[in-house]
Amino acid sequence: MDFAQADIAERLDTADSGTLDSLSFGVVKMDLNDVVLDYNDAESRLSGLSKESVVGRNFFTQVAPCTNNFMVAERYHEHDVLDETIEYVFTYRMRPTKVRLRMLKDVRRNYQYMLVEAL
Amino acid sequence: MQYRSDDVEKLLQFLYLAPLALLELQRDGEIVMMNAFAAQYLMPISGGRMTNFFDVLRPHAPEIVDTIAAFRPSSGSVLNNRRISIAAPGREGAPLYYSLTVEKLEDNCLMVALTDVTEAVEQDARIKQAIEQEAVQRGKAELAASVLHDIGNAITGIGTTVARLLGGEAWYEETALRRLEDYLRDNLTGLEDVLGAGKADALLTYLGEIRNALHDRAAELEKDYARLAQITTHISELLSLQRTYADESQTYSSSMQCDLVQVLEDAISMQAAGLEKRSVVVQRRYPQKAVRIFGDRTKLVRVFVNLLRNACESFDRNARQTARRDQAENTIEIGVSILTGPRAQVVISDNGSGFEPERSDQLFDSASSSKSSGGGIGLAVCRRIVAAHNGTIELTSEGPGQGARAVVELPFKATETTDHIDHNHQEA
Repeated sequence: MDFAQADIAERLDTADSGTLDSLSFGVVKMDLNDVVLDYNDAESRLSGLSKESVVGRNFFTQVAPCTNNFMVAERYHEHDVLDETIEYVFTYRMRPTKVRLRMLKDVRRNYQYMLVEAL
Repeated sequence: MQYRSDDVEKLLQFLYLAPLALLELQRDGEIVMMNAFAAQYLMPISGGRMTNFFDVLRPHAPEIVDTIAAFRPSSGSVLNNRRISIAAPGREGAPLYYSLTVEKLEDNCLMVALTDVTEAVEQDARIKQAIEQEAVQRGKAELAASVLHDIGNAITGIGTTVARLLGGEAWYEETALRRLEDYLRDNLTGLEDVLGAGKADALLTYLGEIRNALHDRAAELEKDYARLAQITTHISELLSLQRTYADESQTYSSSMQCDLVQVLEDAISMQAAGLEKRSVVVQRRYPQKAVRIFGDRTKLVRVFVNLLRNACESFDRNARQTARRDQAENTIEIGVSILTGPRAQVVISDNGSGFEPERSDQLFDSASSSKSSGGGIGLAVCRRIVAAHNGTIELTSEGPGQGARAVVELPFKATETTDHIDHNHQEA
């Protein structure tokens, strides 16, 4: 699977945890209420947060408040269907880290994703 | 993957998730560390380049960047809760407000704390605006009330004049002409000798015609005066109603004081036209000392004007109901006394038409009136004004034809003992 691949959401829907962990970019899998369902190894490496400490929590308010603004969180909340890529700065381990984010959502599906690629 | 002990991870999470933006900078503004809220607040205004704090801030608040950069001591407080406004995208022109604190820890180490105070600033602005609007509204209401008051005074003057015109004697000229006619008729024979037969009669007829024309003219004028009186009354009522609305938007201050007797005298002079028109005798029983009460003078004057007008109008019903009206003089008695409490009591009693005793409460309903003309709104407003002064107002009557009695009680200011001008005289 590739970060920019068009049909990546469908593929991620059917991929298991092991498959997600094998990817080179970060994947945050959420339900439509922003609760984290899966958090792959690449993302764990970037953030320093273990999968166990993140799963079951609200991504925008409890895990990554750095995204809780109109550039990221509000885009998920305002759109039923979303596939946008932006450059952003995460604060992994308190360090500003430039990343590319791909925001994926479709209310007809059960999951929404955030793909993260360090720049 | 580099694992940390639980304690370190907890500490990291504490800093990371603290609900304010925290940043550590180098002296040139390069960001060394920042927490999640820093990214949340600053990313939207940074244009995506978040490596240097000065670069992020410079387009929005260059003077702040200069202040920080110009700070010379090797440590100390650089900025303390400095408020900055920032034009943020996605907020339709409404600026964001951040409060910024900068502390220099070492030569190459600056700590920044930043909080979003937009909501507090917007709330302050709303409160300020509301206060200003209220002040403007009150100003308008005061202006309106004072204009209405001035017009009201002018109309009262016109009303008095019209009442005098209406109550005036029949035209003297008419009587004089009739006397002249009578005189000529008595001396008709002598007149015929001088003027010739027929010419004396013609002279009489001619005089009669002049007298009739004069009479008609007088009657017409009388009608015009009556209409004028009606219109004046109508205007006064309209003004009074408008003043009620204008006054109600003003607040009553409990620190206001006035002299109750002065208030009553003002009310009597404002109702002078109505009293004069019905030849009402006003009897006053005032205490020798001034009666200082807590209250708004203009509003209280309106209460007593209303009560006096009601008393006056009740004489009109009397006049209609009893064929001969002048068995007794129209009289209004005004008494002022001090009760324990201390309260000042005003009793206004008349020998007018009165009303059914059980109606005394419903008279204060704004919809009801025993008057055939004009609404009963006056008494409802009276009760509201008196209640706002912590006072009471009552209207009673023994029954139709038995006159009526209005009792108003108001809190009394007991300290004043100044001698008062004696008002205990009669006035027709």
